[in-house]
Amino acid sequence: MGQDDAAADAEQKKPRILIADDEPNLRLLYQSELESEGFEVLLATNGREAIAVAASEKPDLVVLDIRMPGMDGVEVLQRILDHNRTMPVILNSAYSSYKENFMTWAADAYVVKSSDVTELIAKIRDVLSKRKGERGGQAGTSAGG
Amino acid sequence: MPRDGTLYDDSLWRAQNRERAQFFKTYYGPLGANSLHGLAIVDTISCSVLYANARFLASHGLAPNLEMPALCAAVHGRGSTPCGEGDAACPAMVGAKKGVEHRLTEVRPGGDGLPARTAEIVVIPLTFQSQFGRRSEVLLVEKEQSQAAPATQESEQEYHAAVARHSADAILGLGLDKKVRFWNRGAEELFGYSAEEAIGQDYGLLVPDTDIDRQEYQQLTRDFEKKGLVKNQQARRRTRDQRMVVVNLTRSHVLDAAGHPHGSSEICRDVTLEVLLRELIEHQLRAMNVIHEIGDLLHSTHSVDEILRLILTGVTAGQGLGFNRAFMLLVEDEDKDGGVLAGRLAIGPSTGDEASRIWNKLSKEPVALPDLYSRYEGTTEGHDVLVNSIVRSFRVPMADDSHPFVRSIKSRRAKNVIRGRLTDENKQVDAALCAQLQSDSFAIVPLNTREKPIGVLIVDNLITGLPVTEADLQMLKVFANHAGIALENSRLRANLERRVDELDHLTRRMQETQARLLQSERLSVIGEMAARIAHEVRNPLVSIGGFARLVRKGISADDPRSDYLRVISDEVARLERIVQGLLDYSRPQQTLDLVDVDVPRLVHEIAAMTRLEAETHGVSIVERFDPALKTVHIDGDKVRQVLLNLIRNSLDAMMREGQVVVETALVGDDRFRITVADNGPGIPKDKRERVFEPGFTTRQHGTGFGLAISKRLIESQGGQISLRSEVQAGCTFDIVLPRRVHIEEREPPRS
Repeated sequence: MGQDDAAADAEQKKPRILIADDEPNLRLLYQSELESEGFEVLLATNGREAIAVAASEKPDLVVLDIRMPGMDGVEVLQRILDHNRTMPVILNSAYSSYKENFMTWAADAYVVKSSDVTELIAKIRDVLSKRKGERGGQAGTSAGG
Repeated sequence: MPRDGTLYDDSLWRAQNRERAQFFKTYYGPLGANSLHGLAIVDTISCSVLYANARFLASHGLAPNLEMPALCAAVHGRGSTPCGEGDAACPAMVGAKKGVEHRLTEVRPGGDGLPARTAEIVVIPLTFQSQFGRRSEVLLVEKEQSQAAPATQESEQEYHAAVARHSADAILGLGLDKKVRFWNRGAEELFGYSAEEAIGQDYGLLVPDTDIDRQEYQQLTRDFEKKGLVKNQQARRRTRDQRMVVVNLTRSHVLDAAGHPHGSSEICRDVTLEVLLRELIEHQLRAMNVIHEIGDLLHSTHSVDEILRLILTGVTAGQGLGFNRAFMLLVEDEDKDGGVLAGRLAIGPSTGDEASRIWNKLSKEPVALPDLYSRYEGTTEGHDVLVNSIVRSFRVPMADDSHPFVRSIKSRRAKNVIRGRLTDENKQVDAALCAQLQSDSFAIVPLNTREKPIGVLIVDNLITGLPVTEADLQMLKVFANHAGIALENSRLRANLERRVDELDHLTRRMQETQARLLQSERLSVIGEMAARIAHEVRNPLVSIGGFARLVRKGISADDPRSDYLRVISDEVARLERIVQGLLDYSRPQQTLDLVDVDVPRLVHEIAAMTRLEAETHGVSIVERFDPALKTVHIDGDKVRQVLLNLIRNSLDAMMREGQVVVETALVGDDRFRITVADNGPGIPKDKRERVFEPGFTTRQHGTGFGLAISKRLIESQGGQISLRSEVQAGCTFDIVLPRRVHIEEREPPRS
């Protein structure tokens, strides 16, 4: 395989992450960080948009802020999962207390917002690799056919 | 009104006078009846005669069965006009005013049905402190002088001889050789020897054969030889039938025509009765003072053990009532079959040797009772082992009506046992009882308060072997009254102290709860503000710090700006930690405070807390405890809050008098139940389902959240709360909780 092919392949395989946050500065920060870590980033500025983008673009993972005007992250999570049971979702909030809300158990992970995005990125990788492991088995069988 | 200006309670004073009159009748009755002299004891504060013997009554023209106490004025034939202070016509009043013993001669002209008389009156004032104030009593001894000899004497000389011969006082004539030469009728009466027998005998015949009396007589002889006169000397003399008499004697020279002494004359006045009476009264006064002193001591202490020890000390001390041994038994477990009379404490030596050692030591010098008490207290430990083991062997059921102790308590009468025989019932007591006490002569004195029996005091004279006299019994009864009151006071006080402690405890707890409430209210306001600020600050911090990190990644580590950016991101990280701390702190506290809780105590506290409020509603709060249920491991504060809420609900619901029963019970091995039941109006069926819903209320006042919160507080500990109710038959709330609540029981499983 040529180098371009390999690059294109890598380009194609770039995980697509949907970030939903009502703060433009934070969207910009996450976008910059995630892109520099080799992810493709989709953005949504509120809950409704997030549900729509998740349905149309089918990202590999959704990162949801909980406190958003209109529809909060917990409800958005519910809707996304109603539509696609297997969609990986990470909740990202300023409140650690939401950890104890049983509604959030449905999410794959819960990250407390921080200027240090290392934890968020680590959690994204973690969730993706777990899902890949589950799906990898299936993919292997279909690739063989 | 008392004459010293102090106030006294008339009815109490009268009661005390009746007690004194009864006492004198018992104590002096037999002695006074035989006396040739008139005897009377007068209370000069209320102006009443407490005691008078037959001779006294007769010589004042009063009925022999005059009821005592009687008005003093009746004696003077004044009807009901009381004698005034220092009233010259009333020897008792004069005596009380003078305050010292003296003699006076009263000449009564006769009339009003009374014969003329001349009497010498010995007035002996006695004052002492009683429990109702200072008493001032006067003892009167009246000696009527024989009437002058008839005026038909032939010569002056013979008249003089007749006066001497017939004098009521004994008149003796002695020769220089101390032999009797003259012996008048008074001497015959006093000493029992006729003139024929006495004349020619040595005077020494009359001197008792003891060292003291012989020495005193020698001294008297020397004094007489030196001064030629001995006046008003008191001495003991011996009668023909070997009785002792006490005389007041005056000896002077008899001169011959030339003025030379050729012998001596001696006038002896019989003062035996006075001396005896004074000694008896002084003994009685001492005892009264001891009783009073012990009374004071008794009221200064509130420990039952100390009171018991004081009582027994007073009964046995030589300065007190002076019995050899004393035992105290108290009624215990009154609520079970009338209780049991159990031995508590005893004082007394176990052998005669030990007794004489102790009493000798104690009687060397006069000791004030409080000192004696403290001194004796120190010595009791070793000495009273035997008597204490005896007293502790007693456990007499109060239902045993055949037992003399029980009979004494129930009849409220003192009993005397002399050589195994009950004097009042004239029957033998059980030999086993005498064996148990190791004594066959003892007195049983009940200790009672107005309302109920307390116990019995048993005293005896094991060492001296003397039986307890009726007079002793009288004294013991007075003493037992004091002791009973003191014991009851101490019990009441202990009760009161316990209540005050309880109240203190509750007040403190309420203050703490109030403080905590205020604190948590404040915290929740601060917390809410902090949470809002923290949230608003958080997102900008994430942007600032995040971009600083991002920019720093893009530049070389050598670039000095890399350091500046590190400073920004570090400081932001610090701010974020502060904000996180604030957010964590303001989270509502939902944790359980699990501690060991004593269930009966918790219930009792809440019952005590609400009782006052309940009683103003006419509602009583009843506590019932399952004895098997004691300590549990729960959040006591939350359960307390629930119980308080339930009881208050019941009180609000009850319009009329009723009761709230709080009951505890074990449920299986690992759960327990607290039931709060009232007999108020109950809750209609259609509303019963909804009482635990937030905002639901059947009351006019109240938020409707009490039961909803209660339910949450109980369920948070893995328990249940439920309602049973019948209309018109009240409400019953059951709370069932685990005996050990675990943290896991309320927290959701972690993902």
